[in-house]
Amino acid sequence: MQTITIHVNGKTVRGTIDERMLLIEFIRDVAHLTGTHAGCWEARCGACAVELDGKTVKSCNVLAMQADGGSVFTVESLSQQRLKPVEHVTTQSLAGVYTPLEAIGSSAADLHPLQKAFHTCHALQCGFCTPGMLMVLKGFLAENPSPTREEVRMAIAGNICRCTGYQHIVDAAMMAAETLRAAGP
Amino acid sequence: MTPFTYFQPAGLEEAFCLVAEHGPGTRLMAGGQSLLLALKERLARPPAVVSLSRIPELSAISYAQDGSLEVGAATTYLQLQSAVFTGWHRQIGAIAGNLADRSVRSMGTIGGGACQADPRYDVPTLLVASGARMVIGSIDGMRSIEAAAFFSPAGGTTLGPRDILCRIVFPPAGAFASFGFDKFRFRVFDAAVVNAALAVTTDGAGRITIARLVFGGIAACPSVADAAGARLCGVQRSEMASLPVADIAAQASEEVLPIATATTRHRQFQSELIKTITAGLLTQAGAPGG
Repeated sequence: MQTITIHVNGKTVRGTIDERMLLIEFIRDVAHLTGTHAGCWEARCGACAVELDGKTVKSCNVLAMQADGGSVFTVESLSQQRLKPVEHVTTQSLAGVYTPLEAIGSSAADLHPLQKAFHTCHALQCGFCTPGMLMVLKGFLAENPSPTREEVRMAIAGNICRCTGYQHIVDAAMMAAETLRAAGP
Repeated sequence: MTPFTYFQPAGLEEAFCLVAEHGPGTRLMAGGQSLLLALKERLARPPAVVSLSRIPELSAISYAQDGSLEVGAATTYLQLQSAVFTGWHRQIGAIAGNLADRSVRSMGTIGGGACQADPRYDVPTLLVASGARMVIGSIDGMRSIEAAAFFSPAGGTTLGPRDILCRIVFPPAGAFASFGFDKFRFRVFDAAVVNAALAVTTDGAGRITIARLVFGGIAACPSVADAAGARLCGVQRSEMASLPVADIAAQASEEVLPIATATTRHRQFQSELIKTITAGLLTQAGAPGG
């Protein structure tokens, strides 16, 4: 067991952990941020992608020990999280009355351009791969602000989606790239 | 994973001592992209893991006096991809930036790829074709060996249990008149079905003196097509277009994967790939700026 400190989304998180604990386990079970998803545990699906010390990594294939003293940003860091309890929740009431953003008390203005583009372009269905897609695309667009569709496809080569067939994810990336370029540095 | 003690030495000497102290089961970890997969599957059950990621000299890129490129073994593919290189060194960055996927490249290292020694990987082919030197250290001292001697014909490396690969030394930027690399994989993130590199050295008069044609994915270690490569020697680089490319490609294929031994569809596919990729590399090497 060793005690380590990782700065997760700007917050200092300390934990006494087994050496075998993976970064994704630290993020989910110690830092209690469950946006990062474990899809395969073998660095293949990319749903676990997070930013570690400025680089996108697959958190299921990094030991928490390797990130000791480092800075991690997860999908939760892409927008303000303002969750307010809904009074009486049934699937019927939410589907009939609220659009999803209103239901959780958030608003479109809070979303990162990538998240907004994913919403607009229907780039997610079950949403399981989405955190990984967002984090990889965030890192990619920072490096290549004017990509071609082919370059986007190469960038998400390490991320698997079972639902969408990827087309809308590429659409969303191109839309977000345009928004980010217009917003300036 | 089975339990292990984790060490994070700050210097190379400390790492040598830890490896010697904790015995032959000790595993080294640079980026961990191969090791962690093995640990998770319990294919490796080391009692001790020594991390090399906090030893600055192991992830440094520098030039020796003679222009040789010295790359620390724990240099990530991302570092290599982002580095500004000249001459044939640009191919090192190109190869590093075209394997696995973005997230794996952030953590994976060139030394890790070399030590994993999977013959389908791009790094072993790059190392053997370029005639890189592998600088290896342990508590017993430092030594340097040719890349070809680093990979065992039976698979794996010739590293001893206490050895740490410290750095890789590539020939200077102008060492090759042409250095080509190509591969075929099914999906972008897959390991190659076949990969190949062609390193062409010329003399002052533009005549080819050495042509090293190396393939990965065929045997347990990189395969060198000596006879096919020898066909290029003595030829003027500017006259490479007159070479019987298809014939040399067929010879290379037969040399490293005799068709009589290609009894499975996969092997037959590899045999075809060798021909196609070799023809492409030969054509590219003969083209101006290739």
